Amino acid sequence: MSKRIPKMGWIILAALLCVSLAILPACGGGGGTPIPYKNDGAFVQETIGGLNSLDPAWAYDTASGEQIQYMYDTLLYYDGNHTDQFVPMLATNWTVVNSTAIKFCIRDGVHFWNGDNVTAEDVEYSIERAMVQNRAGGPTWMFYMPLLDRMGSRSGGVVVINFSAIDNAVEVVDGNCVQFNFVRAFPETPFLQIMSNTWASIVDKDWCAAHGDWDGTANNGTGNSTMWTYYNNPPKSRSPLYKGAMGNGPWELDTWDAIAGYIRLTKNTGYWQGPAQFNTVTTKFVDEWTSRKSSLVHGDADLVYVPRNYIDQLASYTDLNAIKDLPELTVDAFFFNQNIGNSSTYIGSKALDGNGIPTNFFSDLNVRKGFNYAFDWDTYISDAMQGEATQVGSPVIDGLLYYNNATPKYSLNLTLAKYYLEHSGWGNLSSIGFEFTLCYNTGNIPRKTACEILAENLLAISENFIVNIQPITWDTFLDKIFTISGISDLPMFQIGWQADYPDPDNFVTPFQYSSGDFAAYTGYSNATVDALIDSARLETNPITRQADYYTLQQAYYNEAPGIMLVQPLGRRFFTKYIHGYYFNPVTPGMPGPLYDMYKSNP
Amino acid sequence: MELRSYIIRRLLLLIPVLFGVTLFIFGITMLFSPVQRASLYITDPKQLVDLPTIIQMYGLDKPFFVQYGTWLGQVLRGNLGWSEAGSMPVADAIWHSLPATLELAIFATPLIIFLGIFLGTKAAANKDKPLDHGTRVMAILGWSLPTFWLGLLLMMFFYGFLNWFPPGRLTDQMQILVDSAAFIRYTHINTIDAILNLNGPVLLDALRHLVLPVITLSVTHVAFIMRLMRSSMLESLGKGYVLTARAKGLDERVVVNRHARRNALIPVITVSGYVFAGLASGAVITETIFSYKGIGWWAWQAAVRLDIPSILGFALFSGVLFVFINLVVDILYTRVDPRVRLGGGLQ
Repeated sequence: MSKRIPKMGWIILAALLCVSLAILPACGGGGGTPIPYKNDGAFVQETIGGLNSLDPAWAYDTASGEQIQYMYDTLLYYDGNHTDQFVPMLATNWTVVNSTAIKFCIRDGVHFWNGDNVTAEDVEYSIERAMVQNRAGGPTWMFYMPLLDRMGSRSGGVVVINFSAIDNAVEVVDGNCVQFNFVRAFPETPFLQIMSNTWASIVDKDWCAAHGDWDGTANNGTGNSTMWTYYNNPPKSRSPLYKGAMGNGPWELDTWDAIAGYIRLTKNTGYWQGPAQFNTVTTKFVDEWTSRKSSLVHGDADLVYVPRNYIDQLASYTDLNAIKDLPELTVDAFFFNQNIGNSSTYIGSKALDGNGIPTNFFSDLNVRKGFNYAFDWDTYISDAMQGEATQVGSPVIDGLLYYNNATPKYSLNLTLAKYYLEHSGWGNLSSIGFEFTLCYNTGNIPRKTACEILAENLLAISENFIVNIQPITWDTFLDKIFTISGISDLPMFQIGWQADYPDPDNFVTPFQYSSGDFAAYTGYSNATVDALIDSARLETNPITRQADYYTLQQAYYNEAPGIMLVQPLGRRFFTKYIHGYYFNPVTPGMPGPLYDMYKSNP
Repeated sequence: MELRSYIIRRLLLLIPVLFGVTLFIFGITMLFSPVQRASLYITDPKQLVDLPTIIQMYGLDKPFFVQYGTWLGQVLRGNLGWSEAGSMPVADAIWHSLPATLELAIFATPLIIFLGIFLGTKAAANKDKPLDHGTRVMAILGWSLPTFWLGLLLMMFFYGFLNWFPPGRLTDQMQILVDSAAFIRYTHINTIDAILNLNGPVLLDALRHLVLPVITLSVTHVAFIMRLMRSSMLESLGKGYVLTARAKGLDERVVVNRHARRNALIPVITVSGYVFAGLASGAVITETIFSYKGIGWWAWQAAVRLDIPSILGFALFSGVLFVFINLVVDILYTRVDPRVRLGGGLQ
C-alpha cells in the first residue's frame, strides 16, 4: 500500500516554493557589500549595443568613436572639459593663414604602432581619404562643408566632383605642415572642433595602401584618373581599417570579436605622451542590465551603462563613485509637421470636423503656441528623466558656443494654451475640436511620457482635443517620415539630436534650416532664418556670430516650429578604484578621456 | 530501401526545402517598404539625408524577383552577403557564432535526455506514488517557468549574490589567454579547445560559465522529455511481453530497464533529435541573459534590425540543420525499432 502525502502537505510544499522564489530576488547583494579590487592595471566597461566599424572615416556612432579615440590621435584635442579651447596633439601649433586657410605643423617623433613616423603626408592622406570615401550616412560631410562648401561628393548617387578639388583642399606645405584651404571663409573654432573629433584621426598612409586601401592618388596606380572613385562610398569590408587598425594612440587593437561582443585594446608602450596607466582597455557589449549590475558590484567591471530607470538600484552602494549632473550635448524635441502627406493615416478625417486635422493644421502659429503652452516640462523632467534634465528653449543648448540663457522659454500655462487654440486661424478649436495620432519610438519611455503629458493637458483644455498615442518601430518611423511623395505622414514626431561638434550651427541647421535634416519632413521654411543660418555658419567675426545665433534662438521661440523638450543630464557609475575622470560632453563614450585615468586600491 | 540511396534522396530534398524557405522569408521581408528595409543602415537621425542613396546602393527599390535573383546568384557563388548584425560576412557570422551555441547544446542535450529518461522511467515505475507526484509537479513547474525569469533568477542568486557562476563564456583573464598565440583554437568551443590544449584553468573556467545557461536551457526540455518518457513507459509496462517477463520471475528493475524502457525510448529518440536541433539553432533568451552570444543571439539581432541577408543566411542554416537532424532521427528510428523500414512503412 502506498503512503500518500496528504493534500495539506502538497499545499505547504507549494507555498514554501512560492515564498522561496519570491524572496530570492532580494538576494542581489546589498549596498553594504564592499566591491572587491580586481583586474589590476585593466579597465573594463560593460555597455549595450555594439561597434559598427573601426575606420575613422566610416564610423559615425558613439561606440565606434570611443574605441577609435583610444587608438588614434588627432591634430588637436579639447582642453580638459572645454569645448572651445584646444591643446595641440599631433600638431604642435596651428595658424590662421587667412580667412580661407588654416595651417597645422606636425609634431616630430610620433610613431604609428608599426614604427612608421607620423608625417604631414599621413595627415594629408587621412583627411583626403575620408573625403574620397565619403560613405553614405557617414561623418565626412563635416570636411566637405567647410572645405568645399558642399555636403558631399555625390549627387543622385553619382560622383560629381573632381579629385583636384579634394587634393587642393588639403596640402602639405613648408615641409612638415598641412594647410586646409576653404573655398569660402569659415570660422576658426568650429573647424578646430571638427578636426578634434574621431573622423579626423590620422592614419598610416603606407599601411593603408599596402592593405588594399586607396593609395592617395587620383589614378590609384592605374592609368585611369577616375580610379579614386572606386573607393568612394564603398562597401564596409573594402576598407582595411574597418576591422584592422594602424594607429598612433595610447592603446593598440588587440582583439575585436563582434559576435562574442567585446573589444580589447592593449597599451602602446611607445606612445608619444608616455604609456597610459591602463595596460588593457576592454569594452564588453552586454544587453542584460542584471548582468552588468552584478559585474559592477563584484568588481568585474569598472564602469557600466546604467539605464536611467535603474539608477536607484545602485544608490546604496557606497563603493561606487556616482558622478551626476553631466550636461550632455543632446536634445530632444517635438516637431510640428506643417505639411502632412495626404496619404497619412494619422490625421483621421483630414478635416477640422472634430475627427481629424487638415494637412496644414500646424501651419498656424497660434496652434503651435497653444501646443507649447500645453506641455508640462516639470512633470516630464521629474517623471521621465528622474529630475536629471533641464528644459531648453531653442536648439542652441547649454555647452554650445553662443548659448543664450536669456532666451525665453515656454512653460505650462493651460489658460494661455486655451487662448491661443481658441484664437487660431482655424477658429475656436475648443468648439470645433480635433483628433490625430501622436507616435513615439517603441520602447522609449521618456518619449511615451512626453506624448501622454501633451495629450492629457490638451484634453484638460477641451474634451474635443483628442490625441491618440501610438508606438512605432524605428523602421516604421522612417517609412512614415520618408514617403514616396517626399512629404512626411506624421503630424508630429519626436526626435533627438546629439552634437557632432559643439557649434550652434550643428544644432540650428537640422532644427531651423529649411534644407536641414528635419525641416524637409516638417514643411517649415523661413527665408529670413535660412539666410541668417547661412550667414552665421560662415561668419568669422565672433561678435557678429554671437548676435546671429542670439537672433536665431529668439526666432525659434517666436516661430515655435516645434516643442523643445530637454537637455538630459548624464551620470557615470565608476567603482571607487577609478580616478582621474573628467567630463567633456563632446568626447564619445562613457569613460571619456581614458588616458588621464588610472586605477588604484586606496 | 538501401541506406545510401535513402540518404542521398533525403539530402537532395534540401534543394527544394531551402529554396522554398528562403523564397517564403524573402517574400515576407518584401512586405516592408524599401525605406523600412533601409533602416538597417540608417540608425541615427543624422543619416536621414542619405536615405535615398542607401536605397539605391543596396537595390532596395528593385522588383522582388530582381532582388531575390541577385541574392540567389550570389549564394550560388558562395557569397551569402554581409551581416550588419555581426559586422562580417554572413557565412563568417554563422561560423563564428555557432561554436557558442553548439557548446551549450552539447552540454545541455545529454543532461536533458538522460535526466528526462531517468525521471520519466522512475515516475512510470512508481505510478501514483509520491515520486510520481513529485516529478509531475517538477514537470509542471519546469514547463511553466518562463525561461527569461528563470535565467534572471539564477543569475541574480548564483552570480549576483554568491558570485559563483558569472555570465559570458570566459573571464577576462582566460579570454586574454585564449586569444593569445599560446592557445590554439581548434573548434572555438572553449571546453573542447581547452582539453585539446591540455589547459585545465580554461576548462574549469569554461565549465563554470556553462552551469547557469545549461540549467536554464535544460529545465523546460527535461520537463517535456520526462512526461513523454513517463507516458511511453506506462504504455510499454502495460504490454503483454512485460507481463510475461514478470511472470517468468524477473527482477522488477530488469523488467523496467531492460524490457520496457527500450521500447519506450522510441518516441523519446525522435523528440531528442529535435531538441538538439532546437538548441543548436540558438536559444535567444538564454544567450542574451547570460551574454553567451551564439547563433540565437545573432539571429535575433538580425531579425530586430531587419538585417535581411543575415535572416536569409540563418534560414539556410536552420533548413540544413533540420533536414539533417530529421535524416539522423529517421535512421536511428529504424535501428531502434526493427519493424520500421527506411522509406516508410512497417515490416
